Amino acid sequence: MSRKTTVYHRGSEETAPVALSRRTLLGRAGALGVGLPLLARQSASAQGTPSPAAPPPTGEPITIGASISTTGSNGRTGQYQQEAYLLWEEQKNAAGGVLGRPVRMVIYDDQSDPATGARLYERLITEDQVNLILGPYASSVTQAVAQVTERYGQPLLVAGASAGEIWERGYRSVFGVYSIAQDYFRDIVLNIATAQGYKTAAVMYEDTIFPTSTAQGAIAHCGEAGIEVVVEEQYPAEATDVSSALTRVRDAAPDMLIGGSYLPDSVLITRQAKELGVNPKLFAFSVGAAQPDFLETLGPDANFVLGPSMWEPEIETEGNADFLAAYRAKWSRDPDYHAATGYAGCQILEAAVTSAGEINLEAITEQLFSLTMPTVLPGQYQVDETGKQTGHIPLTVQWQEGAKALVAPEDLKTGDLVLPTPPWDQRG
Amino acid sequence: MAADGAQAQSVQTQSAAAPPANGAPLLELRDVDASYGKVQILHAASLAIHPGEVVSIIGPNGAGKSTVLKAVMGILRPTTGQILFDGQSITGLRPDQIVRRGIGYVPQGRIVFRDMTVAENLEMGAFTIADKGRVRPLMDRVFTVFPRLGERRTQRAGTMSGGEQQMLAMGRVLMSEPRVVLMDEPSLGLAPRFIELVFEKIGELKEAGMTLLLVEQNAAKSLSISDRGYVLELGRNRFTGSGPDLLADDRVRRLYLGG
Amino acid sequence: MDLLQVIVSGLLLGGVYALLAAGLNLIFGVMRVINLAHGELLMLGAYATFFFYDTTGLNPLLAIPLVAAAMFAGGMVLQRLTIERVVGQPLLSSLLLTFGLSTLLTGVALNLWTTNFRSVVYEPLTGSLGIGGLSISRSRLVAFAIALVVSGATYVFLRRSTWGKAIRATAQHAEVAQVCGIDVGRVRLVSFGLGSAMAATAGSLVAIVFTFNPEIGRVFIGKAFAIIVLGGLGSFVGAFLGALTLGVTETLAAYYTSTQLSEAVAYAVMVGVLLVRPSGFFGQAES
Repeated sequence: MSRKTTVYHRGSEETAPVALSRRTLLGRAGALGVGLPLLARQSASAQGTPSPAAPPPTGEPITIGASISTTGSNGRTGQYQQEAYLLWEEQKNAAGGVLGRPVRMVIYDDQSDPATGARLYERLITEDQVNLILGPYASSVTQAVAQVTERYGQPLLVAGASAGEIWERGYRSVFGVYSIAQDYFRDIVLNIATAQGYKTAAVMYEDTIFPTSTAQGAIAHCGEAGIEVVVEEQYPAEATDVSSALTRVRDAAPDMLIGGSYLPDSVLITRQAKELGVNPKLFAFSVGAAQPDFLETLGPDANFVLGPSMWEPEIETEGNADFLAAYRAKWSRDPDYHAATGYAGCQILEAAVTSAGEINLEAITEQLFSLTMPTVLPGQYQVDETGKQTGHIPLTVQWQEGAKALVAPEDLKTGDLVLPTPPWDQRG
Repeated sequence: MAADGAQAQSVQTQSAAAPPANGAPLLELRDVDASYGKVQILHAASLAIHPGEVVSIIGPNGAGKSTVLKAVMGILRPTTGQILFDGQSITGLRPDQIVRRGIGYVPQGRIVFRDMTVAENLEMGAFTIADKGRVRPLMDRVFTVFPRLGERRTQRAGTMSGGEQQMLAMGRVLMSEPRVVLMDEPSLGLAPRFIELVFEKIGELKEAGMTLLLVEQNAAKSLSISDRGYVLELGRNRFTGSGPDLLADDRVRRLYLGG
Repeated sequence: MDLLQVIVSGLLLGGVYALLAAGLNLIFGVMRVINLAHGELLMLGAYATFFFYDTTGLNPLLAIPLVAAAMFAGGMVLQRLTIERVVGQPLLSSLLLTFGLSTLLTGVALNLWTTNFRSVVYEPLTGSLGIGGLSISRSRLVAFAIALVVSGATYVFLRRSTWGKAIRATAQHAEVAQVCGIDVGRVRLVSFGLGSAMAATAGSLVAIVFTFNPEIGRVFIGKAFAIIVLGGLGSFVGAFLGALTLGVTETLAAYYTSTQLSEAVAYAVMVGVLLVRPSGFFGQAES
């Protein structure tokens, strides 16, 4: 009931699994099950077609534990991550396992609750005595869980969180899979805005951890690029009206409007900007631009809006096409980027275990520090001495005529940036 | 009749007794017990009112006079005993159902709907009148009885004087065309000239043939316009008799009439 | 011009607040029950409108009468099953009950619909009208107009109709209303239904203007209480003025300070008003 809960509920930080519009929503309610822990049994023998080349895995299975929010506020997004874990398990068992042994996932549901997540990891490590673990979903849960895994020396691959604070606690074995929130706007500010010659920006952000992190990152990058932040406005998570702040933005007439926001407030800001005739040359939101729901909710008003994305289906990274095809085949739906980060987490763990050559936590931890490797995500896996991800490249997408275009970085883009954004009254 | 026998009802000069002893009573209480929480207020209270009668209930403070009226109205539910109106039991009915049967009630303390106008207050009095076309004529009739209300029909009731509010409360009860009206301390706390006026109006209602049950502190005044009276003490019937008889009775005079 | 813009935005915002507060006030007046679940009734109205639009694709404004009627009936059921039991009980009983209802409804909604935020974006209601340099949001203008019409209709109903007067009479003195022959149990039933319908209508408007999730009730109930205290407990007109005052104060505070501080500033102003006028704009001492 506390405000905190609200914060985390909006949580699903990396994208806020927001479902806003007609059409998408009715099906979703049904997808939420009751909060029973789910024990994913080894499923490969039952359904996978073993690759003819690989000998079937033998011996004691390697158990890998995780808790994921598959119910509760983050449930919808968490399910993508879980599906990726299960897909990887099935693929490995069909292709000779890891270190020649089968793998078995033990996955519980933390119901989007950090305390529950921490308790479940404690149980996975001490009672279930799993060999390895994979990260939960959302920064709030990850922050709680990291304290537990750190205590047992279990390397934690953070496959579903991006709050930079996680790597500021001095943990020895917590490894990022994708960019921290502070870097979400890096490309947009440092490359896109500077190339357009933009000089001023307004930054509005919700006062909770993830949006604030993305906005603070944007402000820092603006400083680096010599872009003046003319309006900086924080608003509470439950804000239902930002018209006064936007009136000030309209006065300041900045070149860019950057929102450290989840989907609902991204929608709110866009709607009210239209209503008030706020006309920056560039709109960017930390969450929303990459989400189909943003378009479905706003229709043509979504056009021209930019945003970061951690992964897009069409990028040509190593193994991405296979991942996409296998995921669609197994789950009968398209993965979103939470599935991709989850899958990348599995890829990295596998590589570290293979390089270590045995289930030895210290050796694996060492590998996770030194390893650089491609995953399905853009860029490569590479961490600094704190375990923070530095090799992942966030993508920039833009809504263009009702479709999402991948517009940056240069070497991965599939469409061209369309800027400046025309004023509202000159749009078709 | 009284539960503990000791204080059985002592009827004064039965000879000159109440005129309409013949015929069925319009309203009758039979051995009614009633309590507020754990405190029993009425002990086998019994009384009867015949059509056209004006009856007073007198007695000291705490005798349960007002409780009798509340029990009749269904505001307080009797624990035992029966209340009959026109020969039918109304025991256990809700107040609004009892009003619909034809019993009107003027509560103590001249309570009006303060934020409503005089006319609206009267309209509420006529809530049970199904034919809304009759509200207007009924209201005009009230205005002839209480001309003061007619002058102030659009005034907010809360802004009127205490006496005027009492007139309004009395006017309001007439709007439902009741067959019997129960009045709880109609003169309580009023300025002397309004006390006179209240009794004058009660007299007019009596003249018009209205059946009335009065509960009054002002026993002398009340008995003087009543056909009969009941003396209640600690929730029990003590005496009953005609108004003049009770007024003349030494014990009643000594105990309740201050002389 | 900016100042005017901000004030207009605030006034438009106030309309929806008013509708919610008026319903809450009505329920309190008649039942002396502080309905802590009132915000959740709004939330249900918002979801009902959302699902109407989601399924039919029709103009979401068409949902309003349907949602209001459904919530009128639903409110009466809720009253009969729960609220009626605490009428006349100590205030704490009704607070506990309605707090429980609020928690229950929020919890069920969270389970059914998650914390995901939703919103009804109906193209013809997006954008704004430019009037003399002012930008007036279409959705807010429509919501304000509807809130005004519904509040006005309710006001007229309470002032003019026999049943409306019976409701007011019951609010002023239930016992006397009862001995006027008014079935006050039924009045309570109808009043709660009416209050619920008003909350649901406010919810429909919230769905069109804002984004919402199952926890939205808490945001709005706080505002509704502030409005009632400001406008005067039990005063319909007071609640309306209080709502507009809160709307404008919030937007002005957000303009001159920050969105984050606006609520705090708005409440500080209201506390200031209450120091000067302890019973609000139209408050009457309870008799």
